[in-house]
Amino acid sequence: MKFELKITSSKDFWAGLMFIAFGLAFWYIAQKNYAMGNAVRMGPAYFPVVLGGMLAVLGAVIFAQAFVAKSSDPAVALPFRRWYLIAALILGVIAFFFRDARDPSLPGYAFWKEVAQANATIFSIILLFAAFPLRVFPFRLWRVLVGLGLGELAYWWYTKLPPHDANIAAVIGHTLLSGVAVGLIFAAFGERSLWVILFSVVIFGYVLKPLGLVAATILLVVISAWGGHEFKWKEVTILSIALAAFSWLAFVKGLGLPMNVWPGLWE
Amino acid sequence: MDLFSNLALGFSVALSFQNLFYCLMGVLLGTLIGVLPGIGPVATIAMLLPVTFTLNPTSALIMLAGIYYGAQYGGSTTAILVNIPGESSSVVTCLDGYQMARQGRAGPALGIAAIGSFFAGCVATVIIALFAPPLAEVALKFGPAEYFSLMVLGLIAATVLAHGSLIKAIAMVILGLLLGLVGTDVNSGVARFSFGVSELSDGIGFVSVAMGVFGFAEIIANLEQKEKREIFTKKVSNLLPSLQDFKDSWASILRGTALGSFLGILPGGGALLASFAAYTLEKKVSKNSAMFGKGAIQGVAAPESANNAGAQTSFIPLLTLGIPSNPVMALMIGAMMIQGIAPGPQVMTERPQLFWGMIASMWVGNLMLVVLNLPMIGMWIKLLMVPYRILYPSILVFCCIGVYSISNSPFDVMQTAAFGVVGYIFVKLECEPAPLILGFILGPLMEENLRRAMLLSRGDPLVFFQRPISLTMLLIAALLLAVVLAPAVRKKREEAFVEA
Repeated sequence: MKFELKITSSKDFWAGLMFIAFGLAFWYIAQKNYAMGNAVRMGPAYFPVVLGGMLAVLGAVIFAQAFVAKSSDPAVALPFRRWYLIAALILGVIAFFFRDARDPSLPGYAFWKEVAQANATIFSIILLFAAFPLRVFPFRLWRVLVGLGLGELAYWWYTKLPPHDANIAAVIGHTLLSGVAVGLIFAAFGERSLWVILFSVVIFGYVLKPLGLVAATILLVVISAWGGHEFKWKEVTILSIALAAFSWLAFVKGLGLPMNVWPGLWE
Repeated sequence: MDLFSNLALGFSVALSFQNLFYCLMGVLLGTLIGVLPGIGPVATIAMLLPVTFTLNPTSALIMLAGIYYGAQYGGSTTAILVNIPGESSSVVTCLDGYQMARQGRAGPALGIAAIGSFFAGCVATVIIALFAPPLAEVALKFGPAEYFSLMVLGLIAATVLAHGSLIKAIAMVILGLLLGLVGTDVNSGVARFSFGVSELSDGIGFVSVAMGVFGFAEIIANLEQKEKREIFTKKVSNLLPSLQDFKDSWASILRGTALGSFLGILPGGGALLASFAAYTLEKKVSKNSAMFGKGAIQGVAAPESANNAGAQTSFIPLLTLGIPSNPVMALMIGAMMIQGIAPGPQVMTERPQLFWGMIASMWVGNLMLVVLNLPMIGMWIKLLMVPYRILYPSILVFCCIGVYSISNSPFDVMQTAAFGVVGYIFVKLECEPAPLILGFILGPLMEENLRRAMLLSRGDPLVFFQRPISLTMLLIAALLLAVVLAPAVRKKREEAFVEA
């Protein structure tokens, strides 16, 4: 069954959700993992729990405003499937309350705990996604998933790498893989300029040590220039070489920052 | 008199060859980034923070301060000639400045902006020298309860004065406070919210947050818009305003300076707010308010004086209380911490060279800026012709090298990229990032003072209301909130920000 919520401000809608998510995350992590203490001797959890709660409440207010506020955004109707949403909420509540059921003498305790903890959470998330047709989410889901998968792979590979960047193929392969992973995740959201710029920055961070400042700067300039409106090869080439030379002179020669200037892989 | 011997000390520090050089570097850089749209003082200072580690503290702070007030000068050039604010605080200068340029009066507009700024800069320097010492003395008596209430007041003021939705601004402050808590808790030694990442146990890098949210996100947002920049006046002649111009604008300069100096001191204030308020005031008091928006010289003189005055007096809370009033000041705190200086009232007594040297350098810097801006205006106009597609990769390179050199590891670069995404989302959702930055820097301080205050009062929260200074500050904070929430003011506030 399909219902529609009339949202008058989609910005408030997403901002509200964002604040609620941040607030709950801080609140939950703090109260679960750290000591609360009391008002006289505050533990590490005290302040974050209070602030997280406040943030979630403010987020809820902003979220509520999305349905009543008069704003400059056009009114958006958010379609959703009612029963899916209700089921998702129920499962979410179950997952939450069973998260630390503490009576192992009950029959089937382990099984139910497992179900409640993991599966209810997963199911509720899936149902939540199903409740809203995908097009209301402003990102491309498959790119996120592939990106996360590649990132996981890159991380696994990273843990296997020898500490001194000895293997050039591994370094380049790993860099490319994780770069593509991050790029894909970014690419799922927003426009090209967003992910191209951030992609170039991430690549720079990875290659600076193994390939040196000059190569890293050239890569950064060439890739980031591609994120703009015009790309002129000649201009970009000159710019990248000039900037590489300048940063070498200013930062390494002038300020004495300790950085590899040339590829240090073969040393 | 004490003041004069202090100022003499300050000038002896500021006029040393090394400090003159760094002051010049600062104001040059400031003018440069002020002229260039798309990069502001926050990103620039964040970029240079790691580099300042190699300098001595006084030179470092002199240079960074120069960037901030230098940007106020540079911003007006772009606003007048291109109708794009080179700096957010010169948004209102576009209104009348560009109109003046279209009427062939770009020269006087630039001239009056520089003269007004210089006058305001001189006055603000004196105000800092006069008011900072007594304030610091009061601040020395502050206990944890007072500090906590002061921070509450500062954060509330910052949200009230931010534009856009008030409730979103408060949410951003709280999010900033929470992000500031990431890392090892000083009392218990527990690494909070670090998820086992060793780099995060030192906390999220302040430079990463500031540069991601202000630098990267801004570049991306700029790239999404089609570039259009028309330079109206290629050649500016006759920079000196006529006698009539002076007659028209001297009162505006005075009013702008006074208002700007006052608003700069307020927590949450600074150049941006000062320029908006000065323009609104000028329009109210002017006899021919119909001329505003059509090239009234008062509409250039007042906000330009105000933003420079505000930029400088916003150093007062930083130097006396150790509390930042805007993101730039938050970065200055970062710079002081890098140098091992704990910001607060003791800076003035323990490091008089630094304190007075910085104040004196502001006057010196303002003098340099007049020279830089008036006779050398042609150079800055040439710079404006550099297209953005060349500028932004250059900005990125400097940002990335700056971030990388914080700890020589890719981690900070990744972190900055992540905050670039976050900042981009903020832009899209119309959440102002400035309150977040303030919250971020104040998070740990606030928790620490709250803990101490509660420990001293044995868990009695009434302590914040029993101590008179603390109570006053909380009352002002409550009053501010109440005033803004009152329907009539709320409407006015929205109008005030829409207008410009």
